[in-house]
Amino acid sequence: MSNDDKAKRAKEQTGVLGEADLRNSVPTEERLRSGPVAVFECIEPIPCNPCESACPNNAVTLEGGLVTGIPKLDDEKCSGCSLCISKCPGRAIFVLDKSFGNGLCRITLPYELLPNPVVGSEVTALDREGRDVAKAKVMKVVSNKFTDATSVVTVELPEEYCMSVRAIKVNE
Amino acid sequence: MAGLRIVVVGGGPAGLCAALEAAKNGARVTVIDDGPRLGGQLIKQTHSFFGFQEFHAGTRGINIAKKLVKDIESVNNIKVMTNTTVTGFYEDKTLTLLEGESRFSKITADKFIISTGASENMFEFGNNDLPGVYGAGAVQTLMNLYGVLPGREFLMVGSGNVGLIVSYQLMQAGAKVKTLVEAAPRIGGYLVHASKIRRLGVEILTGHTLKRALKGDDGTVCGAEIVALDENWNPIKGSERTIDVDTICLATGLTPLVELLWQAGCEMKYVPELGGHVPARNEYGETTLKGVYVAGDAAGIEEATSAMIAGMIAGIHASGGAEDTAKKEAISHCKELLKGLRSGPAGKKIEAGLEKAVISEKE
Repeated sequence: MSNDDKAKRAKEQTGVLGEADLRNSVPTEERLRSGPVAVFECIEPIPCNPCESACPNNAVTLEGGLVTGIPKLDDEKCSGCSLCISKCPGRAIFVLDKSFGNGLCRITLPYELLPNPVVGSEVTALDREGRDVAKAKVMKVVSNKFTDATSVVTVELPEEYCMSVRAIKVNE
Repeated sequence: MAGLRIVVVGGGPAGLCAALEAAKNGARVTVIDDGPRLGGQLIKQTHSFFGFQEFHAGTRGINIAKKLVKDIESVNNIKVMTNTTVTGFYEDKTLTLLEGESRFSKITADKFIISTGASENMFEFGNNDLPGVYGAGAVQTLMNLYGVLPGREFLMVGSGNVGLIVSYQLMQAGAKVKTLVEAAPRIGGYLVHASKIRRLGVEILTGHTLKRALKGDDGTVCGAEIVALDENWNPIKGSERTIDVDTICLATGLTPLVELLWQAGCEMKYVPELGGHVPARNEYGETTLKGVYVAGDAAGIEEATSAMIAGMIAGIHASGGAEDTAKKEAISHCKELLKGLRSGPAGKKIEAGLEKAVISEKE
């Protein structure tokens, strides 16, 4: 079995995307260092296109122009504005930022549980398998009519977790 | 012209869209639903829908239902009968109805659109009659309609989109989903849904099934015994494992609800890809019984967006004047949308099923 086949089988069995699955969606280190940028963890050709029109910079196109095409991001056009996060029905878009140069990164992610995190508080950072891997500080919480009951939360945590943390748990 | 009389049975996404299109085209429509309110399963779907941006994608199911019901209410020529069960479909094109709990009546029409949806599949395991064993639909009704959480710690059975979505909704409601088992070797639903529950810590075990529910002192579920399956789906001896849960939720698939179409005398076909027996029909959803249409899950298990579009096609076509250019254009636009929705790998199975169920028009 080739490595690609192994990766395919792994995600189909666990629901966890691996490095091989994401290599086409992850921005370059240089781009991550230059400011916030979206990463689309959407690799399956399912019929869905709201991300395309959610982007004010027209940075998102669907492969082959099909509603089942996999979204492609032009990360030079992406400003990291995060408007797409709450518009993605699969909640599969995250915005990463490694531009601070202080060993910390920021991750902006969709959050749909209660209670909402409080700005300035510490939350538990979870990886793609739900493992508690780090502590993160809540920098921003956007929850309004536009985000439609989904909160768009920005957390700050050590840079090494930029590619692994994809959820948070609010400590009560 | 007074317009055709059309009866729509089932006020879910397919039925409501069919009714709206038929009414828009001049028909006098009656929508009959056995439930207390319109919207079908949409009224429990708190998640955002996939599909086309211009066709409700990114909108939560509950809000799609609100919009459709508002549209229905704004049209004069649609009559709504809720809490009304259609109990029979007779040869003279008469439906018998049970209104509320005690009033019997009859209704007849020029055309009928049957959009009765689907029922949940049960499966065999020990103690499957214990209190604490629920279908996913019941869990959603209790949790999302009535605000009642039926348990605290869950085992979910089935990894189709229903199992994945209901797991997520349970966590949003404050329950713990300990494990999700899936008998097949791979996750059935969309990966993005699976990823959402995985990153919140739900264990997904493919190649595993529920063997039996464990009975506590109070006579209700106190745990579940699960077992791994080999590649021929046989239980692997010694792989049993007990999980402490107080509730078991079954999301093991759906079967089209087609009793009325059987009784009406439509030609039926067994199409596994579409979930069981479905009526043979033409590209507009018209069955072998002229003037009787089918749309939505009753025509084959798919999802709500395609049900809405199939409903629109049936509604437009049933309202007559099929030679009208505007109607032809509207129908071909709907067909394009359906083709798009089914253009991915998940659509292949549906297309294969439709190949068997859809009959081409004979001259």
